[in-house]
Amino acid sequence: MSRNAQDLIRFVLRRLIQSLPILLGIATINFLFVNLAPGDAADVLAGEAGAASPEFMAALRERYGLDQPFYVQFLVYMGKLLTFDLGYSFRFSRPVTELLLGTLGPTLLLMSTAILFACSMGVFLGVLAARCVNRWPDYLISVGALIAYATPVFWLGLMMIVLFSVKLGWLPSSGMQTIGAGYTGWRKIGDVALHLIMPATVLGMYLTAFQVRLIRASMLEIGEQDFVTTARSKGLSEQTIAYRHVLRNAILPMVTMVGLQVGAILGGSVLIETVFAWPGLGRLAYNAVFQRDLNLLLGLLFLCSIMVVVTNILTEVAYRLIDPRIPLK
Amino acid sequence: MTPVLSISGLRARLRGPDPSAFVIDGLSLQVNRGEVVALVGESGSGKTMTAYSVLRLLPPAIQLTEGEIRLGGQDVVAMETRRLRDVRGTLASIIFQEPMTSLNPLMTIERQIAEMLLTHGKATRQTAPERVIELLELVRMPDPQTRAKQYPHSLSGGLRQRAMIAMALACEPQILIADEPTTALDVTIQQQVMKLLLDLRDQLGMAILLITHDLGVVAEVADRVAVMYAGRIVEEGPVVELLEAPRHPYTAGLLACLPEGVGDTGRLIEIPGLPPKPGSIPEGCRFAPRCPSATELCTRVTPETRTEGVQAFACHHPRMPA
Amino acid sequence: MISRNSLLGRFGRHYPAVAGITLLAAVTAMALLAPVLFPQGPWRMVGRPQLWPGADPRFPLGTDILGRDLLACLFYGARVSLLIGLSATLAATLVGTMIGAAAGFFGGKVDRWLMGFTEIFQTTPPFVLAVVVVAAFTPSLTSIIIAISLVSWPPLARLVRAQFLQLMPREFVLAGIVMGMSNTRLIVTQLLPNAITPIIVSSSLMIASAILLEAGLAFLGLGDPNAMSWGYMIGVGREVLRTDWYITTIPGLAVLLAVLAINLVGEGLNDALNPRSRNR
Repeated sequence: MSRNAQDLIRFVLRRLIQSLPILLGIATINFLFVNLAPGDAADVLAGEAGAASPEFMAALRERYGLDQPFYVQFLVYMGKLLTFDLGYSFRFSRPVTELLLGTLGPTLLLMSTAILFACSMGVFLGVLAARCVNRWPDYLISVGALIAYATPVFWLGLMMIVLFSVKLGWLPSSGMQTIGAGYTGWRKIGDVALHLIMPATVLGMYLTAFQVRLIRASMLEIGEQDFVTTARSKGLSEQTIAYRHVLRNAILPMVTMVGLQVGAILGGSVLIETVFAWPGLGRLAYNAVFQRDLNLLLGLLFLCSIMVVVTNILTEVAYRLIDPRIPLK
Repeated sequence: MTPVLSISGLRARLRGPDPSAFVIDGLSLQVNRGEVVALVGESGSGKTMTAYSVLRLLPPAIQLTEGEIRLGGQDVVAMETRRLRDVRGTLASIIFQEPMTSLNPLMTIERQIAEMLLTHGKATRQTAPERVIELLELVRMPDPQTRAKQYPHSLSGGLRQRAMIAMALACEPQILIADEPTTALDVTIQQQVMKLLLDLRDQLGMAILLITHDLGVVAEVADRVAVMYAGRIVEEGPVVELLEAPRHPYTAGLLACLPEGVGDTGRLIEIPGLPPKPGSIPEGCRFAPRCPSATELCTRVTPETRTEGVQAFACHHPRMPA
Repeated sequence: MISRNSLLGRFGRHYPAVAGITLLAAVTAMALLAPVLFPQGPWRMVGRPQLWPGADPRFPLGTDILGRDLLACLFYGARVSLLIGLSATLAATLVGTMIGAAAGFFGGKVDRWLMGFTEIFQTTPPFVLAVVVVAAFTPSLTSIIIAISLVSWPPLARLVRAQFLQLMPREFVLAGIVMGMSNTRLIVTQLLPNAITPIIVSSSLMIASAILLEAGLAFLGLGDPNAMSWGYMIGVGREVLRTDWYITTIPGLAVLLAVLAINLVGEGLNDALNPRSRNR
């Protein structure tokens, strides 16, 4: 067991090191953006202050190292990244890192709920479709998946607000908890959960569509394999065969899919958090867009990339824990 | 005494537009208690489908249309699904040709064997692990304690087949159906597994229906042989008599291929031509187009099965008895 | 007569694809007819604000919060969606094909570097990157198209590379090499034509995701301020969502139907071009 744990840690470390060049590349692109974008931080600041005498600008540039040669700025930028210093948000007057970490929690909660929802719905509907293949539940589920693919998530969120908040009054339309209610303990958890239902469902919708189709296809493919006949010859019920033998194998591509789609989910959360006023990274991104806060946006992009890298490593670990055929080494 | 397995007039066909695409066409066969019966034939003769039909494991593309399959006196064909599930594994078990793909890759050997025991109430969650080890010892699995905790991919083909056998025998069935159980294995391992099956028959007293294309194996292990061609049994009899003096020209052709005649594909290279495909079965005797002693009669009239001495055969021009 | 097994025949028997083509034709017609039917443009205030659909026969779909004709907005929105979807896809296909082709053709170091570069873009969340690009430059049709193509090319590059890796060892490519064809000629005349089918299929599906990306950007206020787009309309309607939700619903449905149409056509193309993958 401890050997396994050791292998696991070694595997994660190795994958992290392998990801470093990618992160370096992303940082480089980030840096290029800062410098390619019209105007620099000094212009922004000066605009803010309303006074833009050349002396003031020069002083600002010197203070923030903007007068240094290109490569020096690049090295300084990289050095700062190593200590996770993503610069300063002049609009919010706070360090970017601090802003990001303050909003990371709600986004992680929203995303993990959405992914969990997508995977469980994917399994449920995908298995149902595969077991009723070419009959009406299968057609219905396939059509549903097609529509879910085509629906803009933010619009779906707005429509759900109209239905469930405005018309029916069942669910809160915005925020993460009831403002001023001051709930504690279980009541607070329940309150957050209630606020979570709509954004998580909507955010997970796109991934659900992917997972349903994937699970259906792999259930059908795996259902034809020899070990399923073995399971049948043992006297197991079709239900047990589907869930215990076939699904277990069909889940593997689903795990990979989470890794592939996590970037899309992060992008979706920018829109969803904006729609539902969810106090996370996405809404921060919206505010940053609104205020043209490029430093903050770039920090956000970098953090999102790190999240993608980490999720990918996690899905690889999960894959290896489920499938004994692929060693950790 | 009722036979353990009794098949009579069995017909199965490919689902589809052609109503005459029979893969099993009027097959009758009996296996008695403790007996090893070999069902022999080329690839495509329908022997594997016969094996699958006994437990109603036919793929969806193939449909049983007629006939009766009795396991311990109960008709499997008419049986409702629940009852059928009880029968699978307890009255009859099956092991397959490909040990590499017949086990679930994501479950330990122990779990897969224990699942058989638990499904049929032959053990509880507490007693199952111990019983699994006993079963692995029974099939002479080396180091059973370790192997039980491993996944199929860390076992060799021979060991996986042993695990399959342990699983198949877990509920002490009256008959074991072995569909080419050694074809995918190395030659030395083949003999070990065959010997194991025979020893287990002696020890446990179950019958074995052995599906094979290898007459060498048949000569060593079977009590009785049934030779299958194009969905039908063309000759049947005790192993010694049948191999020494085959009456049907097809059996004789099979024997002429020994010892090295059977290629990797299971096709018989000594007999010219190929067996007919379902749906394009010739009129009269199905073997006539490939038969050295066929006459005009053979292409017209299907030969009836007749019994002479201990052998039964379906041929207009049988070879001389010994 | 169309034979049942011809390309068109296979496509035609695929009813969802026919439905997709019909829908797509309708969207295209909207885009083309917009200036003819609504010569005054989409921005003019033409009636009382927030008129519900059917309330005034002059505006069958009603008016938005500034009294603009929703039907006219919808028609002009189709123009923007198709324009951006097609141009971004074209750009992304060119970039993706070039990078994938180079990686697959040259292999070795070139392949490693190009795939590393591709992975960088695959790691950054596409929509977030698009937001940053558009926000860093000012929102305009050009910057939006650049942003969308910038985040869309990596999967295509991987696809083309995989195709090339499969094709490289084949006889006709070897023959080309032996005949002394130049690399460019080999790629353009021998390899690309044999890899074109999957490129067409994924490009057609890419148009759909480009339209969704554009709608998302416009909703966040990152649309071209001079172009009436469906995403912008959704954003405008949001302000009066509680009372006049139709202003949001209508453009959203338009996006849904357009994207659905393209996906259906794409899948129909896939089935028609790869007969093996039918019944999957």
